[in-house]
Order: sequence, then C-alpha cells, then structure tokens
Amino acid sequence: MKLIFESIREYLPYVFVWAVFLVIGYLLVKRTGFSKTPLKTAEKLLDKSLSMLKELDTIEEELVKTVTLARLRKSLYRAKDALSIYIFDNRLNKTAANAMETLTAVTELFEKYSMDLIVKSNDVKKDVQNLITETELALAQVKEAES
Amino acid sequence: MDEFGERILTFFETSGVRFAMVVLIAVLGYKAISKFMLLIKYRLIVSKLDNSLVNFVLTGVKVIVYTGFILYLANLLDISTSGLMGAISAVTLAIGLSIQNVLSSVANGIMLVTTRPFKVNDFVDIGGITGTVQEVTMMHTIINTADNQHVFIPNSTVYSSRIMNYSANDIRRLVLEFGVDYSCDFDQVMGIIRSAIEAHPAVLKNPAYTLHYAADKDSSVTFTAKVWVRNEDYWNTKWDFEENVFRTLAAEGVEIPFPQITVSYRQDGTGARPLPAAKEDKK
Repeated sequence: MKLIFESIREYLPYVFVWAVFLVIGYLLVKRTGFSKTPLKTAEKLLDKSLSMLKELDTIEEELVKTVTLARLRKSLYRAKDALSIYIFDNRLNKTAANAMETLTAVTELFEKYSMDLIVKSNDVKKDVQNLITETELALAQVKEAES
Repeated sequence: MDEFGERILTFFETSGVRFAMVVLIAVLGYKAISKFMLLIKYRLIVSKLDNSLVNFVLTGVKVIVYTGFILYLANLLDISTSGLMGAISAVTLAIGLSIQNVLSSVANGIMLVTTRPFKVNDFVDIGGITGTVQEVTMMHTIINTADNQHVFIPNSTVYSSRIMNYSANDIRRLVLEFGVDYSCDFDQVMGIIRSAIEAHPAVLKNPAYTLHYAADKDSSVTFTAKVWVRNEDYWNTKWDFEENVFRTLAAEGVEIPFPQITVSYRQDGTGARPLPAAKEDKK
C-alpha cells in the first residue's frame, strides 16, 4: 500500500502540471470564441450582432452608441474568423463561401464608413442588417445541408 | 494461490500504479496539446495565411509535438528513449532513402508555400503549362488549365521550372502589332489605331499607351501599340482591338498584306520533271 501511495506521490506533480496546461488551453480557446463547432459560434455572434444593431436605435447617448457599434464590429469580425475556420475544414462547401461573401460585405461597410456615419445613417444600418440577415440565411442553409 | 495473489499485488504496487498514472498524464497531455493545437490553427487561419501553408505548418507542428510527447511518456515509464530515438532515426533514414523523390517534392512544396511565387487562384505559366492555381498540396501543385483540365505537377518540377505569374500585378501591358501595305498613308493608319485605343473603355490612362512605327518587313510596315489594361480585361481587349482595327482599316481602304502562293498547273505536262528510269536487273 505504501508503494502505491509513493508512486502516486511521484507522478502527482506531472498530473498537476498537465491539468494546469489543460485548463489554460481550455480558457484560451474559450476566449477566442472558437469551439469545435465554428458554425455555431458564427451563428451566435451574428445573432448577437443583430440584437446589438437593434439596440442602437433605443440608445440615446452618442458615446454609448459608438461603444455598442464598436462591439458589434468586433463580433462581426469574430464571426468572420469562425466562418473562416469552418471553410478551412469544409473547403468545398459553396454555401459557406456565399455566407463568407456577404459577411465580408458587412465588414467592408465598417471599413468604408466611419463609426459616426454608421450611427447616424439609417441607410447604412439597414444595409448592415440586410447583409447580416442574408449571412444568417446562408448559414442556415449550410446547417441544413450538414444535417 | 497466496503467492500468486502477492505477485499480482506487487506488480500492481510497482508497475500497475505507475502505468495508470502515466495513462492519466497521457490523457491530460493529449487533451491539453489538442487545445493548444486548436489555438495555433485558429491563429494561422485568422492571420489570413494561404490554406496550403496553414496545412503544412499544422502537420509539421503536430508531428514534432506528438513525437516529443510520446518520448516524454516513454521517459516517465523509465523506457530508455535513446534506443527509441535510434529506432526513429533508423526508420526515418530508411523511409527517406526509399521515398527520396517524394520527399524532394514535399521539401519543394514547403519552399513553394514559404517563398510564395504564386498563390491559389493566380494565373500562372509553369514550365509551359498555363492555368489557374487550384491548390498547392504536400506533393503537387494543381493547375486548372483554360480548357478545364486538372494538371498535377510535382512540386519538385514546379520549383525547378520557370514560373510566370500573370496575377502578381493588377495590370498588364498588351502589345498589339498591325501590319499594313507600304503604299498606305501612315498618318491615317496611326490615326485609326490611336482612335481605337482612346475609345476603348478597358485601356488605362495611366500608364499611358504608346504607338510607334516598329519595323519594315518583307511585305508590310508594322505599327506597334503598347496599352495597359487590368489583368481581367487582357484577352477581351486584345480580341476587341484585333477585330475593330482590322475592320476599320478594311473600311478605310487600307490594304493589309498577307503571304500569297502562286500555283501553276500545266495541262500538257510540259515542264514536269521526268520520272527516274527503272534500273535494269543484272543478269
């Protein structure tokens, strides 16, 4: 029995070190928003972006509006990253490529116009909303094809 | 029976627990490494690197990391890793010698994705094969030719061939040659070509085009126009010019010389070379 405990005690530090590595790895992966299901991640981020876009109309303070828009922009870019990962794993999926095209068009709007202009212009906001909805529809098609 | 039980207990106490602990470390380590591999994959894809390069890097890192991890586990079980290393080296050498050509292609593939003379979707000419790059795999570069044929070129051949990448720059120079008869009015011809160039929407204003009298040939005078167009407009512009300028020159009565052959036919057979006489057999 004593030998058993000695063996366990001998290997326990190694177990502990690898467990710590695992936790760190898990947290880092979680932080990037990337999971084993990048399609789901992209979908969630797009949902979040749409709700933030709707939220913009109800916010009155300019500063809060700009901050919300910056968060919206970030989540769109993260959705794009997640979709890139899905496309990397499923290179022949044309629907996913279509979704990427519309999502790129959204992010290009953010490159083209200043934050202020997007906040103030209803037309640009409508364009953003339409493109996000289009991307969501394309993603739904990808999911349907997968199932 | 007691002795047997004691033996099992001793084995369990000495090796069994150690083995179980190493299995536990292996599971934890594998999962941790997988997470870090996911992170590397995420970073590589997000950094917008070429897919083929991402694949290369991921495969390379995986092989190195997992081999190192297996050696580490062997070390924990007090298995001599020097022997294992020797075995790995011997196997690697044997495989290396037997698949020398394959490895050369792989190494050249690595060079191709790191030096990047072209990327996916570029229009290239590799040693005379022209087409659009579809993919750069470990072994081959896959080209889709204009007539929609998939050509697999070994990376070793690609790397040692002359590579022309037509997509490297956004714009290309289109050189057009027009040959007209010596009796033509040169100013009129140059005017026709100039107005065709200036009227074409695909011709770029900057860099500006050039038009000059190029050469006296056996039966024609050649004018050369050098115009700049976007890559995607190259062929359409070339065909447009060739057709439009020819039509306008013909409409304006400018003669375009072409080689002619005069064939004489004699009905009576005179002038025809006589057939050689048949040799008589020696008796």
